[in-house]
Amino acid sequence: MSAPATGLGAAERQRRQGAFVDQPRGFDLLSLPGLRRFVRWRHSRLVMQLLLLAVAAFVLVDGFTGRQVAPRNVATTSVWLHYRGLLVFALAVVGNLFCAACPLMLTRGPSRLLERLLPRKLAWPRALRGKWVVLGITVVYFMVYEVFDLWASPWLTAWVVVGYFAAALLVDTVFPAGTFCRYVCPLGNFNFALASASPTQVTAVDPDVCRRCEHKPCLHGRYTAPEPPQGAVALPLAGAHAGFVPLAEVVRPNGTGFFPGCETDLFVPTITSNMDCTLCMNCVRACPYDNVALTVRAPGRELHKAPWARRGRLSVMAFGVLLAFFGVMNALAMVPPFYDAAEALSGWLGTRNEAVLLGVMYAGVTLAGLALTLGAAAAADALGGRWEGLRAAFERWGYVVVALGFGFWAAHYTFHFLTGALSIVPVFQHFFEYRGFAVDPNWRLAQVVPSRYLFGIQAVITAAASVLALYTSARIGLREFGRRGVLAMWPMFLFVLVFTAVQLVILAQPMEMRGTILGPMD
Amino acid sequence: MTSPSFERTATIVLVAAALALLAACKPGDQGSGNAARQAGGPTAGGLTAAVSVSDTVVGGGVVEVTLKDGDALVEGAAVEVHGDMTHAGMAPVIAAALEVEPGLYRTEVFGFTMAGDWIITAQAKAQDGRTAKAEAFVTVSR
Repeated sequence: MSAPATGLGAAERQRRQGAFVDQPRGFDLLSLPGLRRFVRWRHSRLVMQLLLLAVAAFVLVDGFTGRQVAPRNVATTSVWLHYRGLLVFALAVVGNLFCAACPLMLTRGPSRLLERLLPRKLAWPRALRGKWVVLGITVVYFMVYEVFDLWASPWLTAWVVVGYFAAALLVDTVFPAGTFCRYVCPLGNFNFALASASPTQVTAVDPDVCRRCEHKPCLHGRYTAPEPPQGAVALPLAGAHAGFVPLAEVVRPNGTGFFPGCETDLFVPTITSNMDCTLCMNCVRACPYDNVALTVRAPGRELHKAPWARRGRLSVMAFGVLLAFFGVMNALAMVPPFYDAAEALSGWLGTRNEAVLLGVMYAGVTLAGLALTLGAAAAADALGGRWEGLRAAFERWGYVVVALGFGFWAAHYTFHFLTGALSIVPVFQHFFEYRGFAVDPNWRLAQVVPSRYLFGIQAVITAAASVLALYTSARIGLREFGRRGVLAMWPMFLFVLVFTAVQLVILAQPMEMRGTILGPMD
Repeated sequence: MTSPSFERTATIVLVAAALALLAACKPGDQGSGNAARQAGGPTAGGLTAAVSVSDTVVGGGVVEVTLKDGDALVEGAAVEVHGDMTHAGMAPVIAAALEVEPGLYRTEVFGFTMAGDWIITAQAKAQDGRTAKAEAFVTVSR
């Protein structure tokens, strides 16, 4: 028997009477004509995945067998230019669309076959259920990118793609489905972190429907048939907790059989963040009451609401914050002052080993960034009149840096995309010409906008992210410290302005694209 | 019916074979390394091209292409030079090389647009329709 409502705390009363959590209540993108019907269709994700799988196939074929000149190869052009450019565009305009269409998840079929070779699935170790592992993998990934000039090598780029497929297959064979996405994939987690600034979020249309829902199919999946099954039904392991929902009970039925739930353990009415949401739309398909929306919200709405407090806390925040400084390094590595610094460091350390020099420089920027973030956050807490330690300050204010990180990556990737997006046409023409077809690539196709506008566009993106970061600072300050928040937000304001200035200086530098950070020896 | 151990072994062998196949098909590494170098060819019917690049600074660049048929210099060919950066997506520089001496073709100011690593590809077509290609890898400085 439930306790009388009058005896409950305010939060519990709200939970039982209204929304589970604070979710945006904007326009539902799925209400656009035909979109909900498409997304509810059992094979909708597969269609999107097959499109990217086709691109991946071109990447592998050209990367392994094509001409090894990066600007003329599908592997390097589509991966390092178009994927990254379109990724930040999609994140800024809609959300995590690339995880939604991720072809790596097509390894589900093979992994279900391979599962049979194992005595049982292993549980992902509790100690690793945060973002520390993926943070480490991301650092290694960025280092490998620089040391081996992945952007200049179609062959290595193709190997990276093979490695991704193999890792997804291996991890999700040995561990439960979704483990790779949530704890291992650096690209997915990059998307998760930056999607905190995206203008959409999965929400429950009517929380009361979720409250009455018995099986929570959005989380556990559901099995639907006209009649209850007689005896055991062979469901995939992912459906171990799936409930049976008769076809007659399904609102706007979308077929029968097993509909998987969320692989990253998100329960729709409690979602407050895009963290860990692959936008796979399993929840939309699995919900028997058609009660899931993709709601339009203010960009970055979640950033000032401490959304990661329940999903990994420190490790998630460390990942989000460090991503901003990895973004600084990634852009720095293309401008002349970086090469000058590398030469100076090389002389100082007495080594010309690129891995060592890059490691030292990555560590330097990362530590400096962390120190500045911690310093600003600690000062903000102190001015707010509350001191709960460095970790609390970091977890409170780190979202400000996440917003800045989004701006840096978006500005940098947009530059490359606009510089060469049209080159995909001659690159594909060359793919066929190289294999004997009578095609004449038009190599004059490359830029989308003239070079003179590029810095202006980057500056606008930078400014937008800075405004978002300032707004986030102000809201966090007022939320946490009331009237003293007006004081508390100032250290973060200063941090944002300094970061923005540094970003603009870096982006304004003439760019270089060298395979080595050191010049030739005299 | 196959046993689980056979399936397991077969899977491992198949995966290992697929990886070995991929590893074995590494193509030539033109354009993906760091060292400055140049390469002539491929040749067609004895026609060979050699390319050299000087004044490798932003805004500059002179590309010379020597075209031979055996030991004989080839006159009257059409020669086009492409400059590609090693990073994908950068607009190439494309210029015609004009014959300045018998068998020697030169672009005047090639116009490197950015400092960094460039792959220079010269494509020549002789009057009799035969073609030749040559590549050079250069680092352009500020």
